[in-house]
Amino acid sequence: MSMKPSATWVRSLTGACIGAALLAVAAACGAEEPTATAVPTPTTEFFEAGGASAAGVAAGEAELWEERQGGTLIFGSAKEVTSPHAFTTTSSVDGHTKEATWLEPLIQLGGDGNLYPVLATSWVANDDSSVWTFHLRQGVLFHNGVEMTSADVIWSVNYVMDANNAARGHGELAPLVRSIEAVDKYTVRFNMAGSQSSFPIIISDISVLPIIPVDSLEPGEIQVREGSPGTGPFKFDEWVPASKTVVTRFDDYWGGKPYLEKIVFQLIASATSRGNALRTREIQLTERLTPIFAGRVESGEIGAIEVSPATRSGYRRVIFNVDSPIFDDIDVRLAATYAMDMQKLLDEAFFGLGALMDGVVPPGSIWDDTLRACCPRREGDPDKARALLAASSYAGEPIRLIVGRGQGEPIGVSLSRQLRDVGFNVNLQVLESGVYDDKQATGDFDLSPKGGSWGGDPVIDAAGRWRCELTELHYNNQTRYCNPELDSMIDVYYGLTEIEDKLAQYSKIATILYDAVITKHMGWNFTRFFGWNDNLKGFEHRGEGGYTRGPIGGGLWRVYFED
Amino acid sequence: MAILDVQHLTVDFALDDGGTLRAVDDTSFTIDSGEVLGLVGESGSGKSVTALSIMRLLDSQADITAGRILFDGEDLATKSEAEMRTIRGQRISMIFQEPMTSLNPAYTVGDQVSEVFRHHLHMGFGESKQRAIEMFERVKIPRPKDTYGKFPHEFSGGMRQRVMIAIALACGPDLLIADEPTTALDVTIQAQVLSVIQDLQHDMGLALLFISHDLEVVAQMCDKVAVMYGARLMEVGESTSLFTGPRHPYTDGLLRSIPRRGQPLTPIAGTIFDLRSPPDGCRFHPRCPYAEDRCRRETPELRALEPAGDGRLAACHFPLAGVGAKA
Amino acid sequence: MLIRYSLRRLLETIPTLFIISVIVFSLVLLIPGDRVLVMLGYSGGDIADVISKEVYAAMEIRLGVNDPIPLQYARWLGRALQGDLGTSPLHAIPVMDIILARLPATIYLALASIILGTLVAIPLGVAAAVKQNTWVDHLANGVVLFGLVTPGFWVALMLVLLFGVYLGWLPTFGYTAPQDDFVEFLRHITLPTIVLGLDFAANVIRFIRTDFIEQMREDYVRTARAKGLSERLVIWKHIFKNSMLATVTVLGFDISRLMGGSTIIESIFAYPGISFLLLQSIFNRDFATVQGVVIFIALMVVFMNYLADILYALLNPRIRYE
Ligand SMILES: Nc1ncnc2c1ncn2[C@@H]1O[C@H](COP(=O)(O)OP(=O)(O)OP(=O)(O)O)[C@@H](O)[C@H]1O
Ligand code: SF4
Ligand SMILES: [Mg+2]
Repeated sequence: MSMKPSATWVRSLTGACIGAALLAVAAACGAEEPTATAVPTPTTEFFEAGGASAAGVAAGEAELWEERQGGTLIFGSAKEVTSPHAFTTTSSVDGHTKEATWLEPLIQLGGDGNLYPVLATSWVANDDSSVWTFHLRQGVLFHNGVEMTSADVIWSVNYVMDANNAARGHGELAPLVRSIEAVDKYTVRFNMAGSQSSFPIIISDISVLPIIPVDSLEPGEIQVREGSPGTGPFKFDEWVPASKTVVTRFDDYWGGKPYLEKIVFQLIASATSRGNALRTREIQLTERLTPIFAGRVESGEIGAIEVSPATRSGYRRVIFNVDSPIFDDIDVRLAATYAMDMQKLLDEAFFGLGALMDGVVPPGSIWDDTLRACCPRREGDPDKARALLAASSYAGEPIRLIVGRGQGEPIGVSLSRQLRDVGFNVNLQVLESGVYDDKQATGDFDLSPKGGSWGGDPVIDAAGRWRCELTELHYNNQTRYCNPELDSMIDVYYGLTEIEDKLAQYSKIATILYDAVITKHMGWNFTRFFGWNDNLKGFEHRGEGGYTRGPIGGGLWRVYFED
Repeated sequence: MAILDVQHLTVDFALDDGGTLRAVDDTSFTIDSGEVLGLVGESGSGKSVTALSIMRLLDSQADITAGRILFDGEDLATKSEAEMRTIRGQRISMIFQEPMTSLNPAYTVGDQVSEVFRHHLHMGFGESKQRAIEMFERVKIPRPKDTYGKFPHEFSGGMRQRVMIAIALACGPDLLIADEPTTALDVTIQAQVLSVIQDLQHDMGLALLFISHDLEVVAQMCDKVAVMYGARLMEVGESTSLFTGPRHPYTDGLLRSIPRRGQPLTPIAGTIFDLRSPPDGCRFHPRCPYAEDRCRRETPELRALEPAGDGRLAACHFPLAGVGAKA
Repeated sequence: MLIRYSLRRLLETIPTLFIISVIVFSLVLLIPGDRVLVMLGYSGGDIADVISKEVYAAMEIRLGVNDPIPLQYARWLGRALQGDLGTSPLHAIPVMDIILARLPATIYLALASIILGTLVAIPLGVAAAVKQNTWVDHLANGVVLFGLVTPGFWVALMLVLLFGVYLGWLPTFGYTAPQDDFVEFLRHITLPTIVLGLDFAANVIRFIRTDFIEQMREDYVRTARAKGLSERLVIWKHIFKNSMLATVTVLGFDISRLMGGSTIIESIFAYPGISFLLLQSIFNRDFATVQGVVIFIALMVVFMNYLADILYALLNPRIRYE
């Protein structure tokens, strides 16, 4: 088990995406024979090896499948699928579960930062990225037995685009897409609102655009008790609120039959209970185990279990409310920034498990290189903080530091200690998550740690947090920072296609943010661990905390029990 | 023949502070079948402890340290708990002072009476119920049938005491101990309850140990009287002669302290001593108008007095003449 | 007499229930946290996606959160009286159905805990009172101290480690309905029952012991002994019924507490009862379900107290006439 993050994931982005996409077209085209077993296993290795090896893999596949198939996996989930609705995702676990089983996006972001084909086999933009054309995979069956075509994609997109349907992806999709039309049965064309070069990355998020059959939902239907048919390797079977989600094998999965007959996502909220149930083999795979448990497995104290950290499950940052009477003074923000020693925080609040970061970019990525060049990290420096504070407008007013109960607590304690050390008066409030969200939305705070996750592009992932137009919707822009110059730079960024241009533009954006001192980035958090019984084989994850199957490898699709 | 013969009964309490208290000291008396013995004395003199000793229902801190309690020739003091249980409620019964709390509030009075029949005589429910209703009749409770299913709180104190009597006499015991059975009742009710006891005692030929500090009631109810002071018996004798001619200065004092027409009321001077440290010699000496040196040194034994034959016993070095003057 | 008394007390619970419903309804609405945001997946601050005003507005209308609160209450009460507690905004399952689906699990657990607790507590509490300062008394005292001092979750985890992980005798989580597989039902319910039962027993022992010692000094006990009754009858007939009088009042409260389920125990054992449902619904700001569950728990508390009153009247003949 390695606790070090991979330094090489996300080395390149857009260029590689296109490359991968082209490769994918080749691969997919060479493999569109109708027999089920002849459908290639679109793993990363497959793409790398090229379509030629497809037949070989496929020949052994049938025997292998016979050998491995069968069994019910009980997966210990930390959170529940709050609703089986395809277009409602209330937590990362909710999204991961759906994406790992019955729903699929058009394309997917791999752990290497590349985009991979899923339901679309290739995608191409016109010169200024104002029109995107997606070629769909042929022969894909929905769980209801009907073949997926352009009509389904168009219906899904339009459903999300209609605000009345309150779809989770509306906020992302609606501003970018003007219309969608069918070119033919297996080709769709998106007419964009202006230049949208980053469009593929946005729809690679399952919570934005899963594809389900035409008319699966009534207009405005947000309450469902059953999942709509999808195209994934497992079919939705049953959902019990506050308890479990059950899926069963879909034999006609376009990517090849999965091995497991059934998966039960059993909600076990307590991490300790998940660990215990894993030890007794009542569950065979689980997520979000504690570092303590992982340590005991690693030391050999607990046997017959494998653990692996989700090194990119999320990052942490601390945001200032620039509207607050205390932090509207940039000097006070700067003083607080220097007061915070993030390594100390990682040590105190995360068992030292984590990697420092300078922005919302993964360490070692091309983005990280850009960021380091423009915006040198402000290390913790208490003396500097004291000096800055003395010279500022701060007169000892209590700082409302709000944190969520649970993981937020140790962060709050560590931060308070550091801030008090340089002379801040800290009022630490540990809040239940809904209250915590509410206070951020209403601005009843001065300082707050927040989470976030990497979606493949530092600007697209986070633009909503910086835009003026969104400051009135404070659940997006919670620092309440507004700079029209920055907004227009973001607009420009959306139209860029070349990676060099993007990096240059990102550098400018990052510099403005750096100078504004609205966020202090803390680091990537490595404290979440997957764990599974050692007779369970084939489980791979991308490190982001998900357990997605698909062309990018791993997931639950290729999981099997070894007798 | 004496149904009860208490000989040199001595009861000690182990106190919480480690000391001991002798609540009954070297006490002897007898009760014949069909006889009524009154036991009188000031509060705290040891009357109840004497009664509970006979029942062997003393608290766990109390211990019979000497003496014998011969009931029908057998020593109760040495009987096992199991043997005592066959005697209690069947051969010796007891009724208590507090009619309001002595009955179980959670059960019907009928159940509390019939229970005795079921327990001792192994009757079934129907028969025991019948017998209980009969007992209600005998203690003169109106509408005995309706009474059966009622709860104690539905009755007055007098009626409850009748229920207690019914319980006590259910199995036709040889000896009844009544520990101040009417003290808590109104005077008119008192008389009714006493007459019930008296009638039944007579009808059933019961031996009765009647404890009271109401001398008039005792005079009216009892054949014989025993006077207790500070854990010891002071005087024992025939009821009429004892009341008219007390031989012990304490009895004399007691009689003078009850209001009587034409006589000045003269309470006994002083207060009772602390039982934890009784005075040497005669324990009445600090309050006795006739006390002399000898009284302070020597403890007088309870002994027969001259003229012999009237059965009078007194524990005094200088007994009175029997007409209220010093001999 | 008893029937009339029962009916009167039943009628008396109606205003209580009404007041509770008003309080529950308004308190739930007062829970901070934006249910529109939660529905749209913006809970916990982990998701960085953009949310649009239009979708926010659409969801707001769908949840009906814009209507005046008295109107919301009237609508809710009207339906609740017909047994309809509404539908969760999250899914199409009526709240009543969800509650009814999960209620048996909680009730079985509560009943099992009460039975276990009572079976342990009554003999132990009585023995401790009757044989003060003997080993039984010390044992009872130990149970009480253990129950009061050790937090339930700790006991739960220790039991899971011992019987689940090390010995492998019992499952560590979950539930099986008795009608599906009775043995599995028992196996699943055992550990949570021990945790809750011990806790319940600790309270009851403490209470019974004190009360019994007091009762033993009562005059009626002396009367019972003077009748020549065996110690068994004196204790288990005469004292016991009186002692139960006081205990029932206390038990009524403890029992209704158990009927509401234990959030911690249901969480640790991933036990699908209504208490865990309540917790999840609060996280999800699923107010319809929260209101439904809380009202249900309140109903149960009121009903258990009502039962305790009736039982008290049965045991205590005096009460019926007062
Ligand atoms: N449980 C006990 N512990 C200690 N001392 C006791 C206890 N019970 C009785 N005594 C003592 O024994 C003595 C005799 O008490 P007893 O109850 O026999 O008095 P009594 O003559 O019946 O008085 P009364 O007329 O008030 O009923 C009292 O001085 C009392 O203090
Ligand atoms: S012995 Fe002495 S003190 Fe005692 S009663 Fe007789 S005369 Fe009085
Ligand atoms: Mg007395």
